Amino acid sequence: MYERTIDDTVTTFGVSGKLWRDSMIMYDRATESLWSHITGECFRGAHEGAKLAVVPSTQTTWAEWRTHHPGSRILFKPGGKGEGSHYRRYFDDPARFGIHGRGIDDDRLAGKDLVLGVRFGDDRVAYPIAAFGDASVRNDSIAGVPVVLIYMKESEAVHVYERTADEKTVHFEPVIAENGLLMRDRETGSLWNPARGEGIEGPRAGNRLERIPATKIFWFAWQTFYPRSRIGGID
Amino acid sequence: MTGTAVLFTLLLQASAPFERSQEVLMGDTLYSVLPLDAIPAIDEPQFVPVAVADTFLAPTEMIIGVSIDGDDRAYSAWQLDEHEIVNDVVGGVPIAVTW
Repeated sequence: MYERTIDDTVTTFGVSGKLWRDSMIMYDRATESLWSHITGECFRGAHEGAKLAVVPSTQTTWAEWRTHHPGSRILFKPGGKGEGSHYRRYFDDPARFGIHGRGIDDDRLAGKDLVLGVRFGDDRVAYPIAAFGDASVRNDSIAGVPVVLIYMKESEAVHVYERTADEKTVHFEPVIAENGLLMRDRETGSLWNPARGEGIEGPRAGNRLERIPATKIFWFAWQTFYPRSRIGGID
Repeated sequence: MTGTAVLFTLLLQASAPFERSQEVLMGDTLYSVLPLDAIPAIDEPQFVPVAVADTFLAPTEMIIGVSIDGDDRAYSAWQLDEHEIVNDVVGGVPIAVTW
């Protein structure tokens, strides 16, 4: 979820119908620049290089939401598809995948398990999101390169970086700070911002980690696209 | 996210036309699967209170919720499946709900 004010101008977003780096691409109607809805970054057009401000959101069940937000207003679509919709109960029906009910070839995970998918070098890895639990910073290697995997529980965002600083491999651990999740490298004790991959305090303040593209996606879609993907182990 | 899955499915089912409509951008392929707005964003969202939503939302259904400045909004995930984006104003802030 993003703010849609860019350079002090409010715009609206539409679906471009394009896919890039494994994600749906949206476009702003003011300039028709292309934006990743995963990263909020513009990669083509007048705003190339710009980044939208993230609006923190929650993904939960209707029952839980209504308990805590009794004054909430809920999107309503008059004349929209209700019962019998192609999409209705999509999440509740474990046997249905994709809009055409395509089957699943690889049953190592359940079709609707969410995974953090990474395509890096000649490696394709899917990490089950459920395995991240509360401690959402994990150290692993992909295609022989040491990486750190981050799942931001609050925003449900995923980030993957090479965990190399000053040409040395480093190990990260989560730090729950007042304003959310941070991480610390065990070697120098420096604090890092996991969303930006940037050292913010300590000897490595100002250092930047190399980001590796990652996506959060249903297993059924990932396994169709990357049939020989391995399943990542979470330590 | 789900939108990505839907587009993936279309991408995989397309054959020759899709092969012609791809290009490489920053080392990764940009696939053109559908025309602009073929999946329609919601530009003038309408809202109902909790009691009304109870008539069309099941307790276990997944929703996306946002709270800005005391303004709480929920969007049903299955409705977003058909649109992927809602252009909304919440707590006075223009936002794009993306899915």
